[in-house]
Amino acid sequence: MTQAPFAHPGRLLVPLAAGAAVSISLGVYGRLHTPTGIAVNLAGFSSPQTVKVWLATAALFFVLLQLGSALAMFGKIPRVVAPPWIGAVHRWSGRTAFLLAIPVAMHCLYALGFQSGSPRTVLHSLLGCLFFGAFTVKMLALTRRGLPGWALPLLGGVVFTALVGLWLSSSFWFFSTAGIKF
Amino acid sequence: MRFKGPILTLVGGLTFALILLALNLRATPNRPRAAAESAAPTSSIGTAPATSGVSPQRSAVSVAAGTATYAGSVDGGSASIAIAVHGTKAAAYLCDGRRTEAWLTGTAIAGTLALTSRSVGGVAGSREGNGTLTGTYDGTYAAGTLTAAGRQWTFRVKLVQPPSGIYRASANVRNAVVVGTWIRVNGTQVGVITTDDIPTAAPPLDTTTNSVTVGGVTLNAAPVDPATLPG
Repeated sequence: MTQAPFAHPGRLLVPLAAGAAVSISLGVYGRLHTPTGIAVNLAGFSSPQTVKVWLATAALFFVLLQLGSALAMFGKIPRVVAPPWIGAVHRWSGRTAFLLAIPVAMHCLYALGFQSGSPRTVLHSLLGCLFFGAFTVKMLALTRRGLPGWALPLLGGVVFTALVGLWLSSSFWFFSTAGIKF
Repeated sequence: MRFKGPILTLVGGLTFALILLALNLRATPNRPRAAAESAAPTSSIGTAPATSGVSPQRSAVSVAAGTATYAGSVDGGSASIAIAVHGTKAAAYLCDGRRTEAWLTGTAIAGTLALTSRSVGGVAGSREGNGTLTGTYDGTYAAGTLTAAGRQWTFRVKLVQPPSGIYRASANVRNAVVVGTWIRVNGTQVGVITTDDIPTAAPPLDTTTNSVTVGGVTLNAAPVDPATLPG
C-alpha cells in the first residue's frame, strides 16, 4: 500500500464496487432460486424460525457491543477513556455478529428467497442484501490507508442500521406476533 | 497491507456460507420425481398416523382416491394449513378457525408446489389479494411459505391419511352465498364459514355424515379433490 498524502474518497471505490457486487448477487440469487421451504438448520429448537430468531437476537447483542465499542474508540462517550483492549472487543464482537448472521441469511436465501409479499418482507429482503454488501465494504475499507475520516463511522453506521433493521423486521416481528419461543 | 484481519473475516464468512450451501444442496432431494409418484404416496409410508380419535363409523363420503393431503399447524401455531395434491393439481387451505382464511389452487409438479389464491378472506381485512404458496412436497412432508394479504406463514406439515383432509361445502341460504371449509387432521377439526364473504368460526362437521347445520340449513361438505376443481 502506497502512502497517501491526502485523504481521498476515491479510495473507497474498490470496496464499494465489491460490496455492491455482493448485495446484487444475494438479491439476484434470492429472486431466481426457487425457495425450497426447508434448509439445513441447527438442532435443539422447536422450528427453523426460532433458530433464526435467536441467532439474530444474539447477533443484535454483539452489534450493540459494536456501537458501544466504536463510540468509545472514537472518544464519543464523555468521561470514558477507551481501554487498550477496546479494539479487540470491537473486532471480535463484529466477527461474532457476522458469523451468527450467516446461517440465518443462508436459511432465508435458500428456503425463503427474496420476498415481496408485504412491506415487512420487502424491507427485510432489501436490508439482508444491504447488510452483507455494506459489511464487505467496511471490511475492505479497513485495509486501505488514506480514507476520509467519515468513511469508517459511516460504513459502520450503515452495517449497524441494516442489522438492527433486519432484527426488527424478523425477530422483533416474530416475538410480537408469535410470542417468545425457543 | 495494513490489516489482514478484515480480509480473513470475509474469507471465513464466505467459507462458512459455502459450507452451509453445500449442506443444503446435499440435503435437498434434487432428483425430479414423477408427479404421480408423489401425489399418490403408497401405503408403505411407516409414519402413517393411526386414525385414532375418529368415530369408528366410516365417513359417508370418503376422500377421493388419489388425493394426498398434508395437514397440520403452521410454524408458530397461529393457524392450520392443509394441502391436497392429486396428479399435478393442488389446493391449499389455511385458517385460524376464527376469521382468517386463505384458499389457493395451483400445481404440484416434481416435488414443487406453486399455488395462487383466487380469493382471500378475512386476512387483514382484505377480501382480494395476490396470495401465493410456494414449497416442496415428498412422500412424507410438505413444506413452504404461504403469503396472503400482507401476511406470511411458513409450514412443514405431514402427510395425513383419510378421513383427514380438506372438506368444503357451499350453499345459497336465504340469498346469501355460504361457503364452509374445514381442515380435519387425525380427529380434530378447524374451519371457517363465510356468509357473503363475512367469515366466522365454523361449527364442527358431523364426522359420520360430513354435514353441519348452520342457521337452520344443512350444509353437506365433501372432501376437496384438486383434480376436479375448476381452473
